Amino acid sequence: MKKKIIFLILGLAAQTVVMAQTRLLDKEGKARFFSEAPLEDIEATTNEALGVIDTETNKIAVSILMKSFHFDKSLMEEHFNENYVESDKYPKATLTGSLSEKINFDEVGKKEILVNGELTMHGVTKQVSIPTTITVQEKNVIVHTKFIIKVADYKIKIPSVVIKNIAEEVEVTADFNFNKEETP
Amino acid sequence: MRKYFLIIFSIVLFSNAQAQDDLLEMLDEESDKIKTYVDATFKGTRLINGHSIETRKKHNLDLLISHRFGEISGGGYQFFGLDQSNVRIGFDYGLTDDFNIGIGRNSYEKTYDSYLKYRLIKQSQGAGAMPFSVTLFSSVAVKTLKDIDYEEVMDFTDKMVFTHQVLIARKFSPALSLQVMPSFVHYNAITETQLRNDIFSLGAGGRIKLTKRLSLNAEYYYQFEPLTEDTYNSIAIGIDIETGGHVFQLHFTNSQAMIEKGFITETNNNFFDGDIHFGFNISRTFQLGNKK
Repeated sequence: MKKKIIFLILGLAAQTVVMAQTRLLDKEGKARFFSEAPLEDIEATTNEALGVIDTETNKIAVSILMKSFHFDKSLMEEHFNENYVESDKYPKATLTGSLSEKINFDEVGKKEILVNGELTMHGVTKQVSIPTTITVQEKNVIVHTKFIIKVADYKIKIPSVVIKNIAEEVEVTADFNFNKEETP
Repeated sequence: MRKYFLIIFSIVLFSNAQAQDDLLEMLDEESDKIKTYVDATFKGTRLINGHSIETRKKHNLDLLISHRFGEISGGGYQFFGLDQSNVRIGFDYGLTDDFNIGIGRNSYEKTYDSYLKYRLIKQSQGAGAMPFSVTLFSSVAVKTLKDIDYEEVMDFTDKMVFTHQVLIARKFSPALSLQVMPSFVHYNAITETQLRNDIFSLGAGGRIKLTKRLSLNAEYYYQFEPLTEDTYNSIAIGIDIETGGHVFQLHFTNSQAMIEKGFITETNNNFFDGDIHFGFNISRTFQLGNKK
């Protein structure tokens, strides 16, 4: 009886370890947004996007600190944080979703899929379906995505004085490189 | 026996917790470790009369035009002070994100001024967070007004007046920022009516944001021992309006001068007698190069 119980304990303990290992984390994801307006192109990048994939459940999550986005023009950066995304109030943009197709993360290959889930920014959560390319390599999993968001969907207000400087649609690209051998 | 069940139970519970544990929560833990600096403690590089902890970023050139009109107590005859005006035209430039230089010319006493400003500590969030910001400030001012008493006895170095300040500020919330500024003013030479060369002062001020682009500011400088017998402490109240690259500051103050030694030590109007000047600062920032 005692032995059985000990095995049970060991088995369960092992399971938790396995579960923990199904997650891949990238702390240095790259994200960029770009908007083209009559007067000014706006571009910002970050190398501190956080991403995690659960290879078991095929779920994915991304979190980006708004303040980690850097602009060429420092005033633009200040206005972005202060007046548009209000990063003191809403410090992060997050995405949680699941992959539209099951991916075998042990098998080398490239797949175009959708990430279906929720994108939260500026305190507003929207259902999204984002086209994503997942490339599984021997040691890495590379995730690339590019999509358009409408600024107005997230209640980010652009005053009419600067409407010519800021586009209403913003192109977002993100790239993650998950190391399969590094477990969080 | 019961012990084992307890262990099993706790492991099952633990593994369940782990499975349910949101992926996002895991990322939250990670993002708490990222250090970010607190931006825009104040909208402008000036609180009202004096400097705020804010610096112009690298390669940014700021053109600052300031006006102080006459005393409102002048009444209708003086058009509530608008008949007279003092102007300061100045340029501020960011050599780096943290190190600024500035020059200015004041019509009041035909004074030239120049300053150095260094952002020493930045308030931050996340790992190793600093609760406040500190900026060091030093300026020199030289009066060039032709004044017979003054001109004959003083050479150029005699006319130099230095101000050194330690500006300490904290953004408590997006709406509220407060600043204290221990200050020291040194006159290389003084006139007969002036009592001392060195004046210590403690300033305090802050801003409350009313809307995203509008804030209410206040500033006060207390002198421990004044320069002359009839100087008052400087008081100022105003609003900041921000529109893209411009910041407009409109204010009421009992100080006529727009440079540190002037408003800290030479304010000779009593705010509470209505000897108040209406004034404004307009700043326009130009970015002369990319950040890198």
